Amino acid sequence: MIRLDSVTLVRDGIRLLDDVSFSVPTGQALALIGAGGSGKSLVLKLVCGLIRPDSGRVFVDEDEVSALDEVRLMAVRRRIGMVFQNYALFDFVDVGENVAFPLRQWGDLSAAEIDARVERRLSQVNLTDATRKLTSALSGGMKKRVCLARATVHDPPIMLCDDPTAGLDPVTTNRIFALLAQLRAENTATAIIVSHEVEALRQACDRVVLLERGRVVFDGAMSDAAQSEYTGLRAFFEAGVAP
Amino acid sequence: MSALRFAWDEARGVARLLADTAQALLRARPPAAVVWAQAFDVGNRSVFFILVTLGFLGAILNFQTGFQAQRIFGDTSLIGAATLPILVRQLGPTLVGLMVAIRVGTGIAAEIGSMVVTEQVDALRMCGAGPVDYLVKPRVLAGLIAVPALWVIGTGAAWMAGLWVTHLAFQTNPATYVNLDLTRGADVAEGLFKAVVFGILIPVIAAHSGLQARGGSEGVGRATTQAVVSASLAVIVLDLLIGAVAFGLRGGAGA
Amino acid sequence: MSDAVARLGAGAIALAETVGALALFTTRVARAALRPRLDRFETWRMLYRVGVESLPIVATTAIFAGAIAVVQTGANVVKFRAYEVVGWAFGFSVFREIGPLLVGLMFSGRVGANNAAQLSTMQVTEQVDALRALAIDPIEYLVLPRVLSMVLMMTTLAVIGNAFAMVGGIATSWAMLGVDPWVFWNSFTEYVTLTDFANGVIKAAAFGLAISLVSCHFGLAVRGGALGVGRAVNSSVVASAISIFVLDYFITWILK
Repeated sequence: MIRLDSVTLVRDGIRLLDDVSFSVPTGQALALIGAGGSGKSLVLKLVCGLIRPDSGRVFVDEDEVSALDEVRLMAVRRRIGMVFQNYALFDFVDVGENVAFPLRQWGDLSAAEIDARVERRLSQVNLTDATRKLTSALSGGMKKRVCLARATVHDPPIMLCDDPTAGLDPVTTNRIFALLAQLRAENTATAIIVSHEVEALRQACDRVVLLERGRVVFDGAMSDAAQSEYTGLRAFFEAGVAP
Repeated sequence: MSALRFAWDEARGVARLLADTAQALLRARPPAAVVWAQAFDVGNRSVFFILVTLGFLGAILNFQTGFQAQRIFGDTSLIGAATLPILVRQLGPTLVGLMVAIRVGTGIAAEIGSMVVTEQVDALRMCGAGPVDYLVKPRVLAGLIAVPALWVIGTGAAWMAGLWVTHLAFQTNPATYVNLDLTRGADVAEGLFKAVVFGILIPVIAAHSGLQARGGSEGVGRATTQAVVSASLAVIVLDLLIGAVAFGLRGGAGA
Repeated sequence: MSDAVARLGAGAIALAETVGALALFTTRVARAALRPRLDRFETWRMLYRVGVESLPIVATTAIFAGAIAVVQTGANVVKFRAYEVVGWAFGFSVFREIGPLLVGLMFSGRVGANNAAQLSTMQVTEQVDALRALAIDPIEYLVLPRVLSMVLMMTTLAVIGNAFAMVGGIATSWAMLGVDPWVFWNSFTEYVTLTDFANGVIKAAAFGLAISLVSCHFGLAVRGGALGVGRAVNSSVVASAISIFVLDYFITWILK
C-alpha cells in the first residue's frame, strides 16, 4: 500500500504540493493526472524517497519513507520499480548492463541468474537484439522499453511510472501500456501511473487522482471519475487531454 | 559581499562531501579494478597535457633565470641546481595541481553533472548505488594515485625542458645542469604532500559541483565552470598554506 | 604494438584537426573584425559582466600569488641576506611571469569556461541557428564583442592583479621575513622597469586573445546535449591553458 498524508512541498516560496493526501490499496493501480506542472512527478519521487516533503508523511506499506535515512531507504527501494519521465538510462553501459544494474548492485543473485533474468525481461519487451547496444543508439520507444525492463527485472511489488509514453506514437503507446499491464500482472503490483493517455489509463487503472496546481481535486474509483460532476475531470475525460 | 558568502557555502559543501566520502571509504573499499581504471583514465587523459604545459613552464623558468643569471653573473652553471628545488616543491605541484583542476576537474564535473540533470543519479539511487559510494569514492582514490604520479612526470618534463633550453640558449653544459645538490628531502616531501592533497581535493570539489548541477545543459555548463574555478582557487590557497607551514618547519627566517 | 601506434596516430590527427579548426575560426573572426559592426550595447554589457565576474577571483589569486612568491624565495633571501633585493626580485617575477600566468589561468577558468558554457548551451538549444535564420552573423553578434571585451578585461585585470600581488607580497615579506615595506617599495621602484611591466601586459593581452578565441570556438563547435556542453567547457579550458603556456614561452623568447 502507498499512502500520502498531508504532504506539502515548497520551493522558492511556491507550494508545489499543497496538503496532498491519498492512498493506493495494495494490488491496485492509480492514475495520477493533471496539467503540466501540477506536481505529479514530485509525488512519485516522494514515494521512493528521492525527495523529502516539507511537511506531512509518506508511507510505503509499513515504512514511513519520508522519515528514513538514505541507507534504510535502499531497502525500501528494492521493492519499487521506477520508470523515469526522461528515461534516465545509464549512458556508460550497454542495454543489457542497464537492465542488470540493480541486480548486480544488490548482489543477492549469481551472475548466471542475473543474466537469465535480464534475458527474460528483454525478450518480454522485445529487445533481445539490442542487448549489447548503447542507449544512445535507441529510439524513444526502445528506450522506454529498456526502462520498463530495468524497473521490473527485480520483480518489485510496487511500480511507479512517470509518463511512460511521452512523445511516442499511438502504436508504440499501446504496446507500452500492454507491457505495463503484463508486467504488473506478474506480481499483482501496486502502481501509480502518471500519464495523459486517457483511454489507456481508463483500462489500466482502478483509481484516479487529479492534481491541480499541487492540490488534490479528485480522488476516487475510475468508474466514478467518468461520471464526475467536477468540470476539470470531465474536461480531461471528454477532451482526452489534460486540462 | 555575496562572493564571500558563495565561497563560504561552497567550502562547507565540499567539507561535507569530503566527510561523507571518508565515511564511505571506511565502510567499504570500492573494487580495485574500478579505482585503477579511473586512475589510469585520469592519468592517461592528462599526461599529454601535463607534459606540454609543464615542459613549457620548465623552459620559461630556466630561460628567464638563465637570462638574468647571465646578465648579472655572466655564468649559468648553477641554473639547474637553483631551479630544481623550486620546481620540485613549488612550481611543479602547483602547476600540476592547476592543470589537473582544469583537465580532470571539468571532466568529473561534466560527467557527474550531466548524470544529475538526466536523472541518472536518481536512477542509481533507485538501484541501490548512492552517488557518494558509486561516483565520488573511486574518483577520489584514483586522484590520490594519479596526481602524485603526474607530479613526478610533470616535474621531470619541466626539468628536462630546462636542460634543453639552457643548453640551446646559453650553451650551458648539461652536466652542470644536472645538479641535485640544492634539492633536499624536505623539498620532495613538500612537493609530494601538495600533490597528495590536490589529488584528493580536486575530485571532491569537482564532484561536489557536479552533484549540484540543476536544469539541463545550462546546469552542466555552470557546474563545470564552478568546478574549475573552485578547484583552481583551492590549489592556490592550499599551496600558500602548505608552503608557509613548510617554510616554518624548515626553520623559518633562520633557515 | 601496432594498436598503440594506431592510437597515437589517431591522436595526432585529432590534434591536427583541432588546431586547424581553431586556425580557421581565427581567420573568420579576423575577417569580421576588419569591418566591425559591433553591437555596442552587447559589448558594454559583456565588458561589465566579465570584469565584475572575475575581479574577486583575480584579486584573491593575485594576493595569494604574491604571498607564495615571497614564501618560496624566502629561504634564499635570508640565506644571502638579500633583503634589499626582495622588492626587485618580486616585482620582476610577478610582473613578467607569475602575474600574467596565474591571472591568465584563472581568467580562463572563470570567464573562458563560462563563455564556452554559454555559447555551447545556445548552440545546443538551437539559438545560434535562430540567429542565422534572422540573417545575423553569429561571429559578428556573439563572438566579436566577447573577444574584444575579454582582451580588454584580461589586460586590465593583469594590471589590477599586479597591484594586489604587490599587497600580498609586501605583507608576506614583512610578516615572514621582517622586510620593511619601505625597503621593499624602494628596491621595487628602483630596479623594476617599464619594460618589465609592458612585458607582462603584452602577455596578458595575448592570453586574453587566446582564451577568447578558444572558448568561443569550442562553445560553438559543441555536439550532443548536456554532456556535450560539459565537454566543450573541458576542451576550452584545456586548450586555453596550453595556449597560455606556449604563448608565454614564445613571447618571453621574442621580447628578450
